[in-house]
Amino acid sequence: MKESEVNNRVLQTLSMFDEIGDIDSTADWSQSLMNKINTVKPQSASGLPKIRFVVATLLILLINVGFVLNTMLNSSKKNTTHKSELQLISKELLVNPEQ
Amino acid sequence: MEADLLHKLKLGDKAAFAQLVALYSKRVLNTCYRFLLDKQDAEDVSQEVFIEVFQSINTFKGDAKLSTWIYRITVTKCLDELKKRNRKKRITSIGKILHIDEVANWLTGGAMPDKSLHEDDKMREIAKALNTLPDNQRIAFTLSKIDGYNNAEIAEIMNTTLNAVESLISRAKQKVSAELELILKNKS
Repeated sequence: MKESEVNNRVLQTLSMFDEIGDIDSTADWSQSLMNKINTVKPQSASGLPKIRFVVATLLILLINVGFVLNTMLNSSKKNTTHKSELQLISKELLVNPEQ
Repeated sequence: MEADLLHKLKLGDKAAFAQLVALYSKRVLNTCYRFLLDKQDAEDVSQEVFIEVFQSINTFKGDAKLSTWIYRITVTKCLDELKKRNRKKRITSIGKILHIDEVANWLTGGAMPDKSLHEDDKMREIAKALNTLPDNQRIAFTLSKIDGYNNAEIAEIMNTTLNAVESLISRAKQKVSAELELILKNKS
């Protein structure tokens, strides 16, 4: 196909997009839309912030519980016996506690 | 008048909704038609637009005009539908390559998307060329081809400047022409 012929067809095809006719809504379309509308409920404007508030509260609660549990676990790990404390002090003083 | 209609809509008044549909249905329907190039799909998607409008009218804060908000929903729904089509087409192509048409049919939920999509060759060529455009160019170009949308309104819908819209339309025209040229050359 020649270059000019291609250009011509490009222009023709593009003009076809411009010439697409309008369509109108039919009575059936309107009726079916109203039927669908009757089955759905509008979202309440206040519903969304409420959900957000609950989610945020739950998140804060979860973080707090995690923090408390983490502290409890760490503190139980740090529980030392009298002997281990003595060993630690003696190591620092370079004294053998067994002697 | 718009404020009154909006107030009634927020109260869930069905008569006000019918009034809204009567006011905007033609433009919404034809916007969908230009984007999707299929009458049946345009009718389905435009119904989805109005259902979305009805459901989320209480979240409309009035920052933009009601009409702009509705057309924004329309454009978003159309782009979603186009993306859905492209996904279906990809799955269908894999099925065809592997000769498992039944599976492809099942995966795409029944009918093949191409069946009633484009009525003639030229429309298919336009659709193919438009598919290569980035979303913002496609929106600007398509809206500019619909009666009643001027560049200022397109800028409002796309939440951008008039200069940006002009540039998007001009780049889209160039790209569509180049793509069409390529498609036509490959065909011959």
